[in-house]
Amino acid sequence: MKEKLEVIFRRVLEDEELVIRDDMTASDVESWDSLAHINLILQIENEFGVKFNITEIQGLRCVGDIINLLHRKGVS
Amino acid sequence: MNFFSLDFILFSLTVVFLVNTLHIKYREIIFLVFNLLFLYTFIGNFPTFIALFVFLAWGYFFCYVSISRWQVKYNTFSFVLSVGGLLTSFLILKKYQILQFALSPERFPLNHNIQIIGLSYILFRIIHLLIECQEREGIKFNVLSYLNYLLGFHMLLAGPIQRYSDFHRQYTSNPSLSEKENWTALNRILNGFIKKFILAEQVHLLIPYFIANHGEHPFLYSWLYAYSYFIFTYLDFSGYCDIVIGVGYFIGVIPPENFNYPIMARNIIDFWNRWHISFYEWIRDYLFTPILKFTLTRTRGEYLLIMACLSYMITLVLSGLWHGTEFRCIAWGVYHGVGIIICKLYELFIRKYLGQKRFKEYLANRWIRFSSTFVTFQFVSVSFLIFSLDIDRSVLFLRSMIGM
Repeated sequence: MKEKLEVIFRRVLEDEELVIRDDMTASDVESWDSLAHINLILQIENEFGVKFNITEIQGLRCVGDIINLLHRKGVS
Repeated sequence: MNFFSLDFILFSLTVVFLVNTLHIKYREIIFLVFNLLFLYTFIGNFPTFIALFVFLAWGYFFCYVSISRWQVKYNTFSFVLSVGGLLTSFLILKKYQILQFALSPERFPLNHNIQIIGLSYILFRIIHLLIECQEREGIKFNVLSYLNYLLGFHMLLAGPIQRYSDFHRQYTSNPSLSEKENWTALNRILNGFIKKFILAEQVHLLIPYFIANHGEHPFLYSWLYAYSYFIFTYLDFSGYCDIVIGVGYFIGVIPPENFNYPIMARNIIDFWNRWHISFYEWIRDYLFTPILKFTLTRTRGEYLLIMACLSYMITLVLSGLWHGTEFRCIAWGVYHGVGIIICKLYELFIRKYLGQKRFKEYLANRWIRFSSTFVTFQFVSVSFLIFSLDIDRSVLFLRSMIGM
């Protein structure tokens, strides 16, 4: 899952050398702004075939939050 | 009850005293009694009280069914029904202009001053709570915590919009302040009083002068009017927030911070991260993100930039409408929408043009920072001018500003 996530992050944030860490947040990556954030969420939803609701999206602050939420949604 | 009155100070002191001396199990009741008392000083008449009660009961019903043992999950119909009902009663209570043709005063005698209590803030909190009840597991509330959340006296008049989980965590734990926190709280209250009742008042005195004597120095007085209106609103509103945050410390429910030096904002998006933060975060979470996500899903993720611009515009026009239905409020929304779109496009362009490394240098450059803060200050001041004047005068002042 993490490799797939990394591919999405690299594509959306337009940084081919980006290595994601669990504690990485929007303030660590210059191009991770509010638009990129929603774009990331959308791409992750499509890739893993899941849907995030409004409250879940609010709780996604760092990469680790996304991984945890995907786990809770049954993605392994 | 005025904020700068002996009544309010005595009232707050009584609540502080009771909350800190009586056992925690009485807190909910103390809060409720005093919150309702405070509300009562603003709404004297019975029909209004009933109307407000219906509004609150409507929200409670829909929150309750989604966390009750039936665990009703909303479909589009029930969601529209719950939010639609809230919005309708909100519009009636607020007597919005669009409803005036339908509700002639003779047929609908709601003589209230409910605009004074922050009804729109209550609406925002209810919608937030409705969605939380639907989507968050294990959320706890009852009639008491529901009413205390929505009608908390120190946040009744003009927010901030506290999130329910933040409220509930503090509400159910004992208030215990360290000596340092006591001083912080007192300091905040004092700061607030100085800002709101001394500084803001002084700036406010200037405003009519610039309007009355506009003809003498049109260029200068138009700009000074815009600056003073911006500064006045900032001092008045952030002073209010300082007071309610300080009071919040003492009663154990601290409202979220609402301002972070907005005058230092380096662009209009940055400004919205620093100005009326709880409101901005609400519209980001419950308007902008859902609208953008919806439009992007419909276009299969393409046209990100176009859809983002569209969502910015819709969001800002709606928040303009939230302030009022006059043309000036819509103009204010459009103005900010255009500003945000230009700012975003400029940022994307400059980042692409300079590349990641040079973009960082660009951001760190002291002169760039200074000039962009300066430009943002002008931009925001103009938005306050648009917001505060009727359209004819607005046009006159705007023309004077560019020497026309």
